[in-house]
Amino acid sequence: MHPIKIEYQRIGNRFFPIVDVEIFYKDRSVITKAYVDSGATYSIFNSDLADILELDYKKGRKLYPIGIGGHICAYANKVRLKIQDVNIRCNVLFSDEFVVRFNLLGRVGMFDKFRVCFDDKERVLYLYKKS
Amino acid sequence: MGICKEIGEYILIYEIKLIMNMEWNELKKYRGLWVAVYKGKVIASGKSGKETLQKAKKIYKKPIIFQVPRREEEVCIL
Repeated sequence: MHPIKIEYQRIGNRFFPIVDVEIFYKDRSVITKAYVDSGATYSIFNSDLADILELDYKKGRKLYPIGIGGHICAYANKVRLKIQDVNIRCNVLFSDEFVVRFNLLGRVGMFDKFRVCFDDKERVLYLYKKS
Repeated sequence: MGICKEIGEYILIYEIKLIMNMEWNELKKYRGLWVAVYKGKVIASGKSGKETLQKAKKIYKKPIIFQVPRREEEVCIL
């Protein structure tokens, strides 16, 4: 299986592993960008995206994911993600307290479908589809 | 190590370049805002995702929308 090769995206003076991801909920979808974060368990998205999807995300399970900066309030909701041509049904978090302007793609879901290799020196992210 | 060795052995058949691989010089004008991108160009911007998407849909139905980090946010993403 040949990997999908995705060049890192420049943000300021640094380069980051950012991928396009389409989020589906019912008959709606939105395409956005997300930072592939192998240190995160769950993916977390800005609540504006839930609004676009007309997803009442606060009906989801309330969680308080903990990061270096403390914890935030987030809600787990099941959606479908599409990364390249791979569909992933999984729980993701939406939060209106997630003020950093990066959506994060965590391990749940994505890392079940891809073997992920970060080549920081070459600034390339390799995604190997798992069979 | 195993993965890196495999990469060396593979000849990459296809390479997908992100549309997002647009010039940072263009994106940085929109720090802190939502932007909608189509074919590597910003076609709309705004303070919320919904507002930005509504503006962008007049040009293209399904753009990529995301927020552009502020200067202080780009320094260290944990």
